[in-house]
Amino acid sequence: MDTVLLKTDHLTHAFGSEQSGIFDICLTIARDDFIVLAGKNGCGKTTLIRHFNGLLMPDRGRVLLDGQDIQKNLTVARKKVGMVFQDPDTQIIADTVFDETAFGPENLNMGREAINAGVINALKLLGLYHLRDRNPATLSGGEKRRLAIAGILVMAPDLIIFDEPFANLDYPSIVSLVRVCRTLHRSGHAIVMTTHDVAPVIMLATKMVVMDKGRIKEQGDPISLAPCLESYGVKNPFTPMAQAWAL
Amino acid sequence: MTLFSYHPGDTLWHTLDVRCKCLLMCLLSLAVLKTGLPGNIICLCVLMGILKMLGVGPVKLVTQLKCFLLLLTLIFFCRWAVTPGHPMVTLHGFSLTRQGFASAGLVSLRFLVVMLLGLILTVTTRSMEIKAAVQWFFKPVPFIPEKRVAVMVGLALKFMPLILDNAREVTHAVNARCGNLRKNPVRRLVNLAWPLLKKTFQSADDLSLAMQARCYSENRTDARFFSNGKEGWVVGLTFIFCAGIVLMG
Amino acid sequence: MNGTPMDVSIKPIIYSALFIALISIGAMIAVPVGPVPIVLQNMFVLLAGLILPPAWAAGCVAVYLLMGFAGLPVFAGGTSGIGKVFGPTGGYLLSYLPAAFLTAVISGRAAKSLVRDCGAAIAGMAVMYMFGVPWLKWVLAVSWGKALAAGMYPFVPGAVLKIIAAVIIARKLRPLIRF
Repeated sequence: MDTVLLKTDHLTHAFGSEQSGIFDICLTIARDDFIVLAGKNGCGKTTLIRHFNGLLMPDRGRVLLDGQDIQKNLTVARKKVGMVFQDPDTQIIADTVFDETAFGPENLNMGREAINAGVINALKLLGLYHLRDRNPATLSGGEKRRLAIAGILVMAPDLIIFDEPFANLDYPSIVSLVRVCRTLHRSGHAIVMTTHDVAPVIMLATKMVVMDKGRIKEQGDPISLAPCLESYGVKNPFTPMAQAWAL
Repeated sequence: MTLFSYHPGDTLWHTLDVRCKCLLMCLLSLAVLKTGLPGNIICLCVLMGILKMLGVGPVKLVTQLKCFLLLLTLIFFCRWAVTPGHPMVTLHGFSLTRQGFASAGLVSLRFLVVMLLGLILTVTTRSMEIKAAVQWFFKPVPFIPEKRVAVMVGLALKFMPLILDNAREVTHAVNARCGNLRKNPVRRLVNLAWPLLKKTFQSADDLSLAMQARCYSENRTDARFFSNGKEGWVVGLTFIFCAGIVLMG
Repeated sequence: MNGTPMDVSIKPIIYSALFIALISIGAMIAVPVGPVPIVLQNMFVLLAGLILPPAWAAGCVAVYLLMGFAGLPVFAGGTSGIGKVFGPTGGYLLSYLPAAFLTAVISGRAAKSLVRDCGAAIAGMAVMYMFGVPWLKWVLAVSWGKALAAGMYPFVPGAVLKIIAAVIIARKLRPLIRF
């Protein structure tokens, strides 16, 4: 099997101005990649990842998934590329944890038995099975985030995209989320994670991509790239905060 | 969480098929509207008994339904005061009649019973199940896109707590800057509603993206209904009960 | 992040659901103005009419009423059921349907002028009281004078405020909304 999962080809989406948008992005994601997409707010990270499952269409260039242009079959693209959004509250749809997880497969019109099996599996994997009858609104921030992951994991995606997963999470939730990411990566999912705080995942990532002003500025080994992060407005995870303030 | 939310449990009322529960509710509502005072009192006692079994005692009912009971009292006195007949009490040349008392009592009792019926349904049934039942009932009706309606209902239920939270936040944020001192009522209304709506519509946009990312389509897997096999008995007994109170009234 | 042509089918559904939710909880959001606190429920009905196309505006109110009939706790104070509709305030509830539709029809599709929006909101509010007051009279079995005194006069200042606020908000909100 080909190791290249997703490839973008000179991707440009301008939003009608030179200030925002993304320009000329060429990026390759392999099946075993864990990519950290770093950059400050407004650098185009979110715009870029929303092209990966066809939520946004490029002005120029293409996105290839398994060698196929994703515009050919959007449903397949959205099934294979799962996306966990920044704010879990806005993406939770149903009123129990179980139904919420079943939403995706129900959209694909899968059989009820297959759905139930898949949902139970995904909930157990993320440690949410005991909460299956709870209303998602009553869950904690970390649990909501894991529920959002369960909701896309049940569709058996090849690539999982996280958009700022650590925003608004307390320390224990961050730790448990990083563990989940590691488990998912080890079980054969490619992962792309946008963040402006690379510290929690820098040891797990296989590749770091740094964006600024809508363009890819650096890409390569995360640890060797860490020192140059600060020139693009991202904190170097190896400088303590106290030292940053002293400067 | 208010009284009108789902209380988990596994009683007969919880496990009954939802469609059956909806039917029973309609049947009982009609019977209550047809029957007289004794039938309503019996019905009220039965419903209170069921609610007690479900863990909603009379004390909890009264405290949680204060506003509703107040409205009922208002209706009661209104009707009592305007119905002509034999005077029962006379105050300052204004008489309250015996007939008025009976008809006012009947009307307010009916409201109370129908309300309690609705309460039993909401306490024992998840809103998703009610939604699925509504969808099922609308399947044979032409010109109604029942799946779209079901999605709208589900989303609306999801938005409600979100909007309430947002409303609280916005109120606090406005008052923290002394917005409550504004004299112009239109400005106050707009100051509250505009940020609330702006925020809510933005989260609606996010939601539409999230739903597309999860392949939303109207051709979805149908909901499944669970039944405990006692529907026949319960429907039969309810029929007899309804017939009984209607004949009695 | 908008702008894909894909949004077309799902956006009106989500916006309608949003208005259903707003109308449902509108009774719980009160703004303390004067002696009678203003409740936002009927303002949201007017807003639905001003913002959604007629079919969707009527559809969203219809689904709201349907949810209430079916026993979901969406009527004022978290109540529901057919009994509520036959209660004294049922006329107002039912009037939301023609009110939202009429408002949407009058406010029109393209080129929304201020005068037209105001006319639409006033017509919508008038429809609510045209249904609500006779219903109140019938249920409470009181005279017209008493029904008007209980069901309309105390609310007229609030209604005027809400019409103005609804028009202002609708005009601010429209640029944010893309179907």
